[in-house]
Amino acid sequence: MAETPEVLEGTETMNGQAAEGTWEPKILGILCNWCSYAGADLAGSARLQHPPNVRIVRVPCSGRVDPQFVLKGFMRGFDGVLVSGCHPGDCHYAKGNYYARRRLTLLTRFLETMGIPRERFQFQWVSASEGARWAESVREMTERIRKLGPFQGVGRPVPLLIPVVARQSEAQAVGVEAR
Amino acid sequence: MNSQTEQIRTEARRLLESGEVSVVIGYGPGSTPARATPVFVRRAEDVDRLFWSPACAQNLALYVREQAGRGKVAVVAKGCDARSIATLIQEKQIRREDVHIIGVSCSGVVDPGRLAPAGLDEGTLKSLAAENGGLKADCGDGEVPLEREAVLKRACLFCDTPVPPLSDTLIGEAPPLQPAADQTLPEDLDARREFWAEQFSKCVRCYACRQVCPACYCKECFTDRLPVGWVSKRIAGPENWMYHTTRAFHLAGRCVGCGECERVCPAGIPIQTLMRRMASEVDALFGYRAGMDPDAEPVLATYRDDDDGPAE
Repeated sequence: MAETPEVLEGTETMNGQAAEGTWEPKILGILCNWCSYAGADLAGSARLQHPPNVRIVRVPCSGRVDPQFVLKGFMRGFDGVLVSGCHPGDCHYAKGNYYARRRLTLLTRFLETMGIPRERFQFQWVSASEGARWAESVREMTERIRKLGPFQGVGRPVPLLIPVVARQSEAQAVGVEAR
Repeated sequence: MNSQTEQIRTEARRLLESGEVSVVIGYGPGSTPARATPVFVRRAEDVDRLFWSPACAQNLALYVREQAGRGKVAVVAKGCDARSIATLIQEKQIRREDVHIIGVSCSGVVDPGRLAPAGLDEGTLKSLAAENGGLKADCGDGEVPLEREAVLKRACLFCDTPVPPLSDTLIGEAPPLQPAADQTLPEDLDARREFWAEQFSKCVRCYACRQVCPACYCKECFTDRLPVGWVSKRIAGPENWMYHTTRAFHLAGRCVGCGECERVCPAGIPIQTLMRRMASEVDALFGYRAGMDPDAEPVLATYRDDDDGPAE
């Protein structure tokens, strides 16, 4: 079964429910396999210090980034979302990042319509050789989100904690293997 | 009988008698003068079932798409409806040569759900008519003028295409009306987030907005996927938010602002406020308006080398 159950480890403390003073920005990073992911990898192997606040999801191309990925990130309570792909002209699939640019530029403006400040969403180009640029953008974004504070969430607050046991039996009932 | 009704019937008769189209999709009288119902006329002798009035609210582009592949059809279309049809042609859901558009210039249609709040008893309503951009109703004691702002489908107040930009037959002239500016959305971002949280908390996920939308034609909607798809079926703040924002994004550069989603919403969510904002962002970024040109490339299915985006 391809679908993942709605159990996401570690999300329980999101939506600003963390204890006072211990809050750390949680940033969802969606990175293209060919440029930004390799760039982030380079930052690591070069031992470039940068904050551990970005949780990285690797996608084949920034053109694969459905705006829904970003919306879902905010829905699940991430404090910020970072999408990073190849520079224009460098796309492994020739033009995926051009399509992404249209959608994600529109998304930035749309988020403001929804009341989400554009500072919480970053869309950037980082190539495979730009490890330093990756580290710098993570530092910069983490600090910016830290200043903005926890994301207040979308929709009216609802209990986010459905006991995991119940969730597991629910998942089994619909044929998904629980983790 | 108003002159538009007469002209629609004449044109429908001509199209059916000549065999040019197999069916004319139009409006017929509904249960009260404030309601119309879609009718499908297949024989020339039945054209008197067709009529035109300020009650013709539905967007019939929905049915044009359903008839795709069954030969040529004719459809009665307002400005917004004609733009919907153009969008469907752009997206290759229907072929231009398979549809004859009987375009009708429109000065706005009535939302029956707004009559009672405006102090009008639909039960005693005898007639409803449009005149020079104004509205008149008769509730048994003579014709009285109606306030457009109070009874029109909300989207009509913001309409900037009263004349169909695409048509084969055009009936009527442009009404002397100016579109209003939507002031619904608060300026402050936090207030905005709260505003939408409150609005979406009313949503019961009946999906009427999706069902009535000519542009929502996916065979499988993201929200119907099982077992657990992009958004769960739970009716709760974040899930409702996810449903509405995703739907808005799926309609980016495609929504023509006919406002049917908002009219059929049982919870009264101002869906069009969201859609209008999206449409104006698309216009500002890409200089594109949905459904104005059936030959144009859909805006998010293409790109330009010099699009706005992050710096190098």
